Amino acid sequence: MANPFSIHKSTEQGLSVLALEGYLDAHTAPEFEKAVQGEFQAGHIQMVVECSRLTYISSAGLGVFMSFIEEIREAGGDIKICALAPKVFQVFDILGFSALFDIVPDLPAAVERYREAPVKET
Amino acid sequence: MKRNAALAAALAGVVMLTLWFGTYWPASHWTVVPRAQLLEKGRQAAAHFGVDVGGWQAYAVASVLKQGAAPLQLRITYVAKESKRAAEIGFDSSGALTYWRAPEDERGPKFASNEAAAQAAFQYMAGAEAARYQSPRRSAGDDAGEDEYEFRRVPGAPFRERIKVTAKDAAVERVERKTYASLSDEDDDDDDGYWGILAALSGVMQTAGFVVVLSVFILWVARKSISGVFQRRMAAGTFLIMLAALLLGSGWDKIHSVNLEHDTPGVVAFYTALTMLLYAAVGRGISAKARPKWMSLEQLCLLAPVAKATGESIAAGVLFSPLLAAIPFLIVACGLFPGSSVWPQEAALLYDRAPLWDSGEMKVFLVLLLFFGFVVPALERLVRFGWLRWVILLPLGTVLFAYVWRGVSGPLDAALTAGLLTLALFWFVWAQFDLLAVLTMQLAGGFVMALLILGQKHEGAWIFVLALLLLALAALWCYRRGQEVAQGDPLATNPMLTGFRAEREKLLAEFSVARRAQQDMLPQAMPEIPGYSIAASCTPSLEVGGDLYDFLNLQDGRIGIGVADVSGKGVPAALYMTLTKGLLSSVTKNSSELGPVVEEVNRHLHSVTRKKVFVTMALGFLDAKKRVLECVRAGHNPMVWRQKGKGLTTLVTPGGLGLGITGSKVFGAQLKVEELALAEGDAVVFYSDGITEAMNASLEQFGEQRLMEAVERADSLEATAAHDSILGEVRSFLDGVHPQDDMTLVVLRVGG
Repeated sequence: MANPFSIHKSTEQGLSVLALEGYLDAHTAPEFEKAVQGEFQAGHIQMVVECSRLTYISSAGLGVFMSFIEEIREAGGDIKICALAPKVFQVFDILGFSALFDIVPDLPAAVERYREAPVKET
Repeated sequence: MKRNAALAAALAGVVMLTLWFGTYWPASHWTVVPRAQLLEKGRQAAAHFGVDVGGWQAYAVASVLKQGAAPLQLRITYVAKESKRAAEIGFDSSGALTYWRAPEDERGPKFASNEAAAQAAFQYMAGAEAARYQSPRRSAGDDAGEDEYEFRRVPGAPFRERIKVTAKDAAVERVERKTYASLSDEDDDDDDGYWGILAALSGVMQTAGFVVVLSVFILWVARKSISGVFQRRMAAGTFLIMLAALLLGSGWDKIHSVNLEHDTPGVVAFYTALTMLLYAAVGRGISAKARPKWMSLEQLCLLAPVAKATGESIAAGVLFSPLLAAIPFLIVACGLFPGSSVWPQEAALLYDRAPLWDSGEMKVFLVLLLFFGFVVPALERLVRFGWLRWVILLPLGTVLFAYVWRGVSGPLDAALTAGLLTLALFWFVWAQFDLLAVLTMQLAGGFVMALLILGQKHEGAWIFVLALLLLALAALWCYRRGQEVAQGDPLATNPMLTGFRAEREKLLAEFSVARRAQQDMLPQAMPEIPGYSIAASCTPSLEVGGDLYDFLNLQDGRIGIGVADVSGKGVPAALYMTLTKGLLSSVTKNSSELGPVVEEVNRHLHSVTRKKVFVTMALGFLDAKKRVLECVRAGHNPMVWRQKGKGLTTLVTPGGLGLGITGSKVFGAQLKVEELALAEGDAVVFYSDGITEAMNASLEQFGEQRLMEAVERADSLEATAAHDSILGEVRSFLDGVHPQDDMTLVVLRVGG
């Protein structure tokens, strides 16, 4: 049985918000990849990935974040990640993503972070 | 946890039964006449009524009356071999004659009139008590020349009794004595009280369930036939089931009316097997999530390679069964339900010729299959909200189980509480184990009751000791000989897909080459480090995997120990795994400094990997003499450090990013090296997330906590034994579920 996964797109104060729901694994990662690519090509380079309903992420899912981040940052944009469940956050954290990405508690915090630092300083 | 729960349940059940069976089992107070003696008594009674049943075939059946003062009723049918004439005789549990029906056309001696015949029969039945009866009331019988005479006992006795004689053509046709426990009891048979309502409710539920199962099955077959996956084997199975449906005629009702008293065990077994097959077929189709619960049962039915889980399920069923048998006693003994008593349904076993057969009620197995194999998974699939599922399941299950088990008679609240407890116990066993465990518990519970009943009054209890022993042996055998079930691989277990076998074989052959190549790349032997023991393994979940462990002989004399995990699975991951291994060994040719080595590997990986692939790695450089282990963690799971002397278990979590993620200086800035000062008896465990994220059928992960506890439990073991013990704990946690991810485990032990 395929694990359910869906993406809900919206905009929040000019930022493009992708809300993820369900299982992000090797089967569902291409869908997420397409969504990020779509936003990027449409010129929406300031993205927030909202994960409050993301229940699981595998390494393939993490790979999607990585595959675009350099290009997006070169273009002056960023991906901020918000509202991670503790278990999912642990996966990001073990891999060291907290050093690479802005990970914030919720959407307003992500908006705030874009105001402070449009691109994460590394 | 599961094992302890099962042992505790077994202990609790045995204790409760030991304490309460003698006190609360109603039949403890009955006199039981041995079967042979009873048959002889029957012959004498028949002779009195003028029929010689010597040499006739005798069938004895026992049943339990709810309101009877002497609840156990025994009915013997004598059948003349040649003429097929039959006479019936009944006794109650005190041995008193309660029933006589003469064979047709052989009604014994003629009297002067119907009344005279009735009086003679009455005198015989009542004996010295005859004076305590009122004069009879006569009513016309159904046939011409037939009269019924009813003799009622004078009121005032603690019980009410009447003797009814039917006489025809001046000869005795039928005699019946009925005794009721209390004066308030209606002397009508059909007073079932709330049991009637419970019976009706549960009947409706069962019938509805059966109809739904049948419809879903027919739809499923239709769909499979259309999509062309329908195989010969399934066709044969379907044909059998259709035949069964046909034979069953009115479906569920008929199977309920299959009567142990009249039908041979073979007929009952046939109906039962076919219905179970039907449920099994539908259960498989209904929900992929429910599959694990069906697994053991399926394996057993197919006589397929017996799995470890099969053994565990059977063992669990046996261990939980005394508790199931003890539930009615608990209800009665707890004192909360005055007026309740244990319902001595199984007492009928006392006169059974084949008690082993009758101890398990087939209907109950079917209800269990229907409920846990079908209704629960269907609801899980159809009803989104957990609470709503419970709102539906709880009353449904309570009523169903209260009626079907009928462990307690008395007030309605006692019956419903018994139903609720039974449901809860079955639910627990189902959730912790699976369907096979549930069915085994029911079977073994019947054995336990039969053992107690027969053990108290009768010989023949040994057969149940034997049956329970056999179950335990079967469990042990399955567990010892069993294999892990390859559940994650649908092709291996789904007979619907046999058409793809050939193609699959070809692919498998190619994979096995790749797999061998990959396994060859792992170190062939553990390094020999004086004063240390070390053990390692890597189990890919698919044919080839992305996990890796390696040992390195560094230029400065230290030993490198590494575990790495490539993102993703299968062939691409395996290719990157090979690359990582090569990089690691070539980089360490030039440098023995941990930080720079890892940074170098990262640089290479970042330049060659496609952007979304990364590698996580835990790497330690061990100075064997100084007992110092330098560690880094490049985005990998933390290492477990067990300090035996201090009694500490910690996760070693120096900062660090995954390899290949970024080529910038961020990597170096994040990477921290941690030094562990090892002591005698310490252990350091490297592993991949396949261990901590191993998920069992209840979707729980093994997790770091369990891993750390497993490491602590292996304290006294050298590396190989510790490694096997930890992996064993993961496997028993998985309980037959095939690992979803590669599992790599390296154990380093100081000393030994």
